[in-house]
Amino acid sequence: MANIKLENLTKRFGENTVVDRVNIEIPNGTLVSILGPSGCGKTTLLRMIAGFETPDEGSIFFDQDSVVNVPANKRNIGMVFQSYALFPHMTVEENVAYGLQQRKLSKEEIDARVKQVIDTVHMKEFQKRKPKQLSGGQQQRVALARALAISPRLLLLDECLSALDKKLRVEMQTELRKILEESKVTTFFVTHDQEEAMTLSDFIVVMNKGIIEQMGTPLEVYEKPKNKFVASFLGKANFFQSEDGTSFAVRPEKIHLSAEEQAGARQEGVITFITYSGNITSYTIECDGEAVLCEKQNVQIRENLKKGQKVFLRWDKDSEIELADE
Amino acid sequence: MRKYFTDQLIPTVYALMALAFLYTPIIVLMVMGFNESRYNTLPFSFSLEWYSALAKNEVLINAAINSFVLALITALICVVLATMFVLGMKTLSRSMEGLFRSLIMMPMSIPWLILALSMLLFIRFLDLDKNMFFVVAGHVVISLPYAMLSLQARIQALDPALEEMSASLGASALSTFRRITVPALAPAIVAGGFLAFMISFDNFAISYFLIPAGTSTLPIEIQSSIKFGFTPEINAISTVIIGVSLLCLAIVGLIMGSSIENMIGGKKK
Ligand SMILES: Nc1ncnc2c1ncn2[C@@H]1O[C@H](COP(=O)(O)OP(=O)(O)OP(=O)(O)O)[C@@H](O)[C@H]1O
Ligand SMILES: [Mg+2]
Repeated sequence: MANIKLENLTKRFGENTVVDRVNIEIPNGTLVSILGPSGCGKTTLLRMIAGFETPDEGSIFFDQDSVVNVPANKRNIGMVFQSYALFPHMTVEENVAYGLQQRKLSKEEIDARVKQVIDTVHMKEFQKRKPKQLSGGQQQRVALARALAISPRLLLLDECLSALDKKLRVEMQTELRKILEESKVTTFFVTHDQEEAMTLSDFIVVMNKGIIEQMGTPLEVYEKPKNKFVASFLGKANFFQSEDGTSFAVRPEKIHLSAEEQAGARQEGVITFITYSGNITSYTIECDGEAVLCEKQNVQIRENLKKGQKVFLRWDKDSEIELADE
Repeated sequence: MRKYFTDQLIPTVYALMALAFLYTPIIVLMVMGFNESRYNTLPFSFSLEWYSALAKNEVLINAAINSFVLALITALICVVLATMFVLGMKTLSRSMEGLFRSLIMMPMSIPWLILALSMLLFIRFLDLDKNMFFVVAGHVVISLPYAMLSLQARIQALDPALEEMSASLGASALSTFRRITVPALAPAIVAGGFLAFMISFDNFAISYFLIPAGTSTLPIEIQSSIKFGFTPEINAISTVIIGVSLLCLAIVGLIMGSSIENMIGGKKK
């Protein structure tokens, strides 16, 4: 476990700058999500930290030590790839023991540690199996156990849940969070699923085209996104222009709808689309040719608003998010 | 009816004829080894005479041993070289890799006779005597492409993430090679070695041109015994060779089919 600091980290592939002057500093034991669209450089960033790619510029510090010139096998970093990359010719046990065997520990120490980690991920009954005899979720656990077994200074998880189906993914998120909190290991978690980032992390780093758009707690990033990209990538947002030409965003759940005209109404429009999804109902409202999305918690069972109906929109001044760009 | 005739019957008859053409001579050769007649003629009367003669024929037995040892050494060298080459080629640029591969594969498309002749001329040119070293070198040149073919297919299927993962778990390059790369390549190494063995064991031209006087291999011995009168001992030894080849093939198939394939996590089953 360590404080991790990335300083001006830059990677180019030919003309293409894939990671562009990235600065991140995270304290010991934090879980950081790196969130961004496909191709924005998330994997490349992790691969530089792991030592599989050499940065063109910048440094990586674990505590006070620069590790840029340390080879991957000396960095003591646990890693889980999206493909898991379990060793196919080894059993679950052997996979988990592999990293420990490289550390010249005694057989007893290795056995004890393997047993402990396999118990943590609930894979005891499968420990004699080969990877291809396991389901996706089970393979994911083994990959995690193998990375945790070496007690890494840092854990790097690259979209390790995205191959799982929705239900299993949600289960694994909760379990992962529990395991990581117990082991207190500093973790970078790459995902392009914003919900997953919110659920799992202490901090969220939002990346786009190789740069960091914003970094903060899930609450900060959701409630105070700095620009249009962050606002729309993390959750849903409606964008408006104020009279002075600056733009702001309002989250769909912060908009109140009413059929009657009321004081402080900001917009009026016609409902063009209604989606009922159990806990919430979403309304698309056409206001001056712009579609505005509004979400209501279904606290009571009530269907008072109909498609084609005229409605008035209201929101608190606090709910307006000022945006830096455009 | 007509459709049945054109779609099924004719292809089946063709296939059977092709198979007959392939296997009848081999079967006749094997059967005649058990026939009493010295001149491979009918009527057939069962006898193990030629096998007992073979057991006493030291010339043929020594030649067989030579061939076996030669093929074994060739196969071992080919397997090591092929593994080194395919791993090394990963680090080359694409065009260099293509060039390198073509150079190694070339002997497949040059007639062995020409290869053998050029090697002989080269030895003459250097004013050296023929020796076993050149024979082995010649055999390696012609067998290596086959070992490479089998390894290349495998290495292309090897997930580079496995080696990276091994490094991130603390393994040195050597340790990764030993514990991850080699086991993943094992079936291809075995298969490639076996192919190289067969090519070498079978080879006549290279051996014939390069072998020092007084030494011989089985193909050379068989060729010369045909010259000096063909006895069914040749049928007998051929049958033994076929038997051993089939046995090897069965063993390799067994290893590759289940355990190795299983060990490296192949897709079967
Ligand atoms: N070895 C490489 N050579 C050249 N370009 C590369 C290489 N690796 C990645 N890239 C490019 O760098 C960019 C970032 O890739 P990266 O894999 O880091 O994206 P990512 O954010 O992980 O995307 P995803 O969510 O799809 O996994 C992409 O445009 C990709 O094409
Ligand atoms: Mg990626």
